[in-house]
Amino acid sequence: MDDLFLEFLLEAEENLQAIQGALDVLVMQPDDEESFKRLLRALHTLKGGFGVFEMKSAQDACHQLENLCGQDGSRHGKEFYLWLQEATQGFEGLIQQAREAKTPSDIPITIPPQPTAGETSPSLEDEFAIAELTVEQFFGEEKKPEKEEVKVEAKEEIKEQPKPAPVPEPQPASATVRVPLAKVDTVLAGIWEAFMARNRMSYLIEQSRPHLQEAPALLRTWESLDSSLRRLIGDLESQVMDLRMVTLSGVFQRMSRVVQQFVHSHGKSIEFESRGENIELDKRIVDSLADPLIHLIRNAMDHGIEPPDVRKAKGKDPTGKIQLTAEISGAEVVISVIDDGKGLDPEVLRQTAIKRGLSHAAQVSDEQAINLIFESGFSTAESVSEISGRGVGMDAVKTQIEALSGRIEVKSSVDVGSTFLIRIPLSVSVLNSLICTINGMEYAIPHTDIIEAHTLDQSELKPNGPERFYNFRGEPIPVFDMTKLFPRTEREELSIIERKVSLLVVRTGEDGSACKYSGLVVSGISHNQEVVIKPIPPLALSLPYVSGVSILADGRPIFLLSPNKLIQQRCTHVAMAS
Amino acid sequence: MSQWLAEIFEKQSSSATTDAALRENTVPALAIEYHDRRFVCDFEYLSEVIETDVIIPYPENRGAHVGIINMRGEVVPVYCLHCLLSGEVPPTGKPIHSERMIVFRVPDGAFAICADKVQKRLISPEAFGQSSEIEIEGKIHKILSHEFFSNIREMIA
Repeated sequence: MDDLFLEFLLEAEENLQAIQGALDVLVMQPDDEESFKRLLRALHTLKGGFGVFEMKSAQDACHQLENLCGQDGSRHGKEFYLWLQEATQGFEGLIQQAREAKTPSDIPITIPPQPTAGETSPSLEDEFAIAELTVEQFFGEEKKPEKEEVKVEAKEEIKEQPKPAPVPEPQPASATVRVPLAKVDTVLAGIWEAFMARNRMSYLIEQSRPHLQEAPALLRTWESLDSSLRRLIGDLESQVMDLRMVTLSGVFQRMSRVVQQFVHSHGKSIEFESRGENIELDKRIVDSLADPLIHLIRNAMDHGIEPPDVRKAKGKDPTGKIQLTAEISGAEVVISVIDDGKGLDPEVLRQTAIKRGLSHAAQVSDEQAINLIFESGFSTAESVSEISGRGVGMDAVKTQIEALSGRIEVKSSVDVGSTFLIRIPLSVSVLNSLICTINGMEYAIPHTDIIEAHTLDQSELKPNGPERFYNFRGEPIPVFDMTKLFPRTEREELSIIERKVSLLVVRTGEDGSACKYSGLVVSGISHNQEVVIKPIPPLALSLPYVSGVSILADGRPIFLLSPNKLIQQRCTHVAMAS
Repeated sequence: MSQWLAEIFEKQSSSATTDAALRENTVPALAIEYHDRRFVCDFEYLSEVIETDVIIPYPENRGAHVGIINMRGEVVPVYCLHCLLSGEVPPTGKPIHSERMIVFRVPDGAFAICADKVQKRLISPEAFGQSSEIEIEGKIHKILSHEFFSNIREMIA
């Protein structure tokens, strides 16, 4: 792609963000002059960019919107800015198409008709007058036009909402350098290669240590250099990772707009709150979060929050609430989507699951029944709407979250509401992992998944029918024998007659859930190691419980296991078998 | 191309089967032998031939997937070619023996197959489009067509 065109696309995206940020404020506070000016500046710059690349339709559309905005923002009401939000959405798709096509093209863009009720746009004469102004006159501060007194009352019963965080103005050109993400990735990949080379070097020195005892000075120097190298590589990795970090504010603001537009068009009364938008995450994670969050929020608005009259009849506030929050918990970011709607009825979900052929659903607990919504093709929506209820959504949401090495779960109470919890690791590049053996083969398990690791006597695992349990902190937890799940080699047959077993206690559920911890029996616990996680190669076998691959210090590749998914699969097999 | 493969080609070029007259009407092809089964394919997708590295098997067996190898920092999946074409599943939990590993690169990524013997042979250029098997030096070889390489993702699914 031409560098100049790439530069334009990046700028156009920034300008669109600035437009959307300004509109978020103006919807709440239509007379906010600063936001209005920011809106016009961004719109004008965007128009200029389209003009340079001869994208005439888009340029004309920008021009038309500029004219409709006029010079004085205070004459417009909330209705106008809501319409403008909708009208400017077309540019997002246009830029996306241009990015995919890798070349500028004059793609037609349609501006939706302006709302007729509460007409607040300037008259034709005003528009004509505005068109005559120069850009300098327009942005000049000296002459402040008089405000008109016309204001449009909001139609929906939306409570006063907090003012969205203003979108930061772009830095002066001299202070920043634009770098494509792919280049940052290349640098990062180089750092990881250096990391693995250092691991390998360290391994070789360890292997040669007996021979090097005769040269203690050399060994000491090497250890000192190795320590510096390790620190330098760690610092470099952390600095390059920082380059990829962006805040959640863009995604959260987009969710706010989704709610505003839904409220505008569906007549429900919903208050949206967000918290934690300043948390920084890897850009790829942030970009991948938008779709699942939109899905969850649309579901909450469409199926969760009841109409105002129904809420009143239930003794609830007629205005429903949706909260979107993010917080850091250990090595994870936890994103919650909380609504105070009608909640999920486990009995309805159970019956639906049975109708869909999931016979084991009759025996599941209420908590497990609620989580059935993540099963493929599962939907209890009686009608399909344009917003949600097509029955292909929640499993796709789960798949998208799992693709980020994350997990999602739902808690819900009838007539109280639902909470969706998404947990995503903050760093997926280098993970401290425990290397363990299962049937003669080594596997890596991230430390974040392991609570404790023990070598204990077989007798400490208490049988109950075909299952075994381990007493962990006073509570019996189920134990899954990985040596029976994974292929067994002849050598391993000998070791299982030993009385000692290696047990990993792993986290498999959230606080308060019925199955928060589980035990995994492995053949042996080897050592701890920092491993660079690489994605599964595209043509390799994709197993749900293998979350990545890495290369050990001795050069052997190794699979990274996800205990949570391993146990999920095991439970599914058991349920299907029974 | 590895030193080892270059030596083989050198020996081949001096053999009676590759005289100048024959070379005019033929194209070079890669003949692969593994566990008494023979295959032949075009050079187009060949990336390199390596000595067998440690193959790490998957935790469970599925189709023709054998395991993964580390090829200079790149993790490459390994398939059993015979299983891929016959639908048989490799035995569980048994170490995989092969002398060589042939690494191919297609638009979807790299993959390797096990081989005991790899040789250069000269065959008629029409052979790839006409039949599924060809006789080379009195031995039947299964032809790995261009469709095989372009549909590899579907074949391993």
